[in-house]
Amino acid sequence: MKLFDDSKSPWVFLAPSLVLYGLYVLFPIVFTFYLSVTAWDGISSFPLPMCITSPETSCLSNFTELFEAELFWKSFTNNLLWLVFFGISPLFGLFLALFFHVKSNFASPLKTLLFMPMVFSLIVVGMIWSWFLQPGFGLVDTVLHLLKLLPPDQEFGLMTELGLAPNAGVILAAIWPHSAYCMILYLAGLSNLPKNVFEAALIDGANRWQLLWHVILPMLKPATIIVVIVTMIGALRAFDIVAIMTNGGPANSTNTLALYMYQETFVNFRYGYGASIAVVLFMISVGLILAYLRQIKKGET
Amino acid sequence: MSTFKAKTWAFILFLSSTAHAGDLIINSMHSDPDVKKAFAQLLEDFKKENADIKVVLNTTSHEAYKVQIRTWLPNKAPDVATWFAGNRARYFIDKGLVEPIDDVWTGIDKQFSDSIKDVVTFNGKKYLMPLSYYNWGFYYRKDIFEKIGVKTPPKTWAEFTTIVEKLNKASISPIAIGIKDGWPAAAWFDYLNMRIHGYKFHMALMAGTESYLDPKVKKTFEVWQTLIKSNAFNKSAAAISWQEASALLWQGKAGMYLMGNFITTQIPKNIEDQIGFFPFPTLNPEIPNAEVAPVDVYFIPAKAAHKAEAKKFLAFLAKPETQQKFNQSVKLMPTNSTSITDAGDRFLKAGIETLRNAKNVSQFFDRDADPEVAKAGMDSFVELMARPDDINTIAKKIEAVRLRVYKK
Repeated sequence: MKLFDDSKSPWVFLAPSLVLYGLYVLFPIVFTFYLSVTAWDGISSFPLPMCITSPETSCLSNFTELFEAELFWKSFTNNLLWLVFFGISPLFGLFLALFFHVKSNFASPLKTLLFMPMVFSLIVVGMIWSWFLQPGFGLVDTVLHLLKLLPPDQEFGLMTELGLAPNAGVILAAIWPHSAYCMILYLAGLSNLPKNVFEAALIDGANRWQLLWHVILPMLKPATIIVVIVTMIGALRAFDIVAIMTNGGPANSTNTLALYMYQETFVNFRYGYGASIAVVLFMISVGLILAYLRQIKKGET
Repeated sequence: MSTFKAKTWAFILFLSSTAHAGDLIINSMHSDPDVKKAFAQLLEDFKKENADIKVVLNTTSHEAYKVQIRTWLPNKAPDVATWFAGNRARYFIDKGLVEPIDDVWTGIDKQFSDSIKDVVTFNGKKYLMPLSYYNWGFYYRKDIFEKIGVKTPPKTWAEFTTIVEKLNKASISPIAIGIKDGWPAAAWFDYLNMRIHGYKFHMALMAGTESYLDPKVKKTFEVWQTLIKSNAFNKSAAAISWQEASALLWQGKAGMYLMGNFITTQIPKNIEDQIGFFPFPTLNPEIPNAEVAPVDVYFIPAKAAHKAEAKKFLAFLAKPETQQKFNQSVKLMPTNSTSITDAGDRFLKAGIETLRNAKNVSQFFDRDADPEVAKAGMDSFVELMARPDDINTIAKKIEAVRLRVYKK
């Protein structure tokens, strides 16, 4: 006797995870979209959209305010910086993966060392780097003083600048563990490649660059897609390292959209406005990733 | 961790819905081990007098509490909750979420100073019961002051700036500050603004009824700017935390530090004797001194289920013996002025004297001002300290947020 007929059984097996997915992923997304048109402060009774509670305001006034806010554009610019410079880590990852793939016998202790930051919590990474960059007594200052590159009465002021400069310190800290992550993804990709193709290419007279460019890289494409997407997401949702190293400071110089969203929601208690930042961030992420995947698909045809 | 706590908390709430009369549920944000221990002792003492009341205590970490109180206060509230005095409390009081407790205050109000009563009274009614507070002021290196020929700590601004000059000449950072988090800078704004224009103007500014474009605020910024430009503060302030800045004082790299009394628990043993205290100097002799002294309070939510028991508890908190015992063990000051304070701790003694001379106490910038204005303010203060050129832009930034918040 069968409990369910065959057409229903997939749904029965899927049900538990669908329920969880709906509850913890889909519902919060929809709810955030809804909150973004309200002016909820988190304490008043459940909110109706702004244009219903006060007809003279537009339902999108959170968004108009957002696009006029200096802090939004500052955070947005910083996220762009993240996309560009954090985006270097796949190159490091690829370089390391190729190195270790070739020299795999010698290099395993080194590989472990390089992989280590990946195991650390990002909070630990942030702490370590803020100590490195600590003005006055951090590692960077100490080394610069020792090498006489910086007069003893001066301090290396990277993290005290107002403007784009302190982002360098934060992004550098983030690149460290992320390169290790990219390395692991590429190593896995490399170990799946069939060896006989390399041999065939070498027999056909390809040099090492040609082998890399025309054989290995195209075959690594599935790994590259994953690596690029995790990197893009990592850059857009930059939060933990920033929060621990600078908390967005000095004076919001290193703020990112995710941190800005957190501050508006849980420091200033503007749940509606915070949700509108979340919506914009969501749109940017989805847009970027779709554009990238489309580009990939185009390349395939 | 916090979601786990939230769930535990929700579970406790669920249980509490079936609680019997005679129960007392207290929500607290004092998760610091010392304070937690002292508060547990206080509850023990309360139970001795009130054997029929069953006390349930829920302690949440400070930051999580600030977020969660907004969920439970309007819905399923405990019987007693911890909070801050001043405008942070006004926010809930104006929404009708706090029970007035004038009856608890009858007969005991003479035991509290006017400055304390002022921060628990809103629209003529008393809503809060204060337990402890602490003072702010300068902690300085006696040995360094001696070395540059300063015998007594400064009383006036002129004396103060002379010391700054002398310390600079001796190649010591005059004042330590770390503003990686903005609040230590806000203490400077609080003090300068109160010393130059008085408590009343400062509190009106905090409550949103005065403008940040007022020439008076500009004057405050100018005094501050002059001080910053005279190299009064250590380098790289924007990248170091308040703890790292205190290290500058301990190492003798800086001469003094404007901080709350909680810093005295961190003074290294070997230099303990070298650290002294003096209150923020006078800037305008016509203005009576007001001090920054954050008060920790307890209140009864309007939706509390056991108000009679809660009032008994608040009356117990107000007692001089209760306040004395609790505060002595956590090195804070009792708000009941009939409590006898052990003068064993010289910093507490100096603090009590400072507050006794104060006509009013403010609650600190980020408790007195609306949270949004406070954040914009602190960001701007950091900007001023890092780049002390453009006072007008800074004032305009805070003003823009004030206008948006208070037009609602």
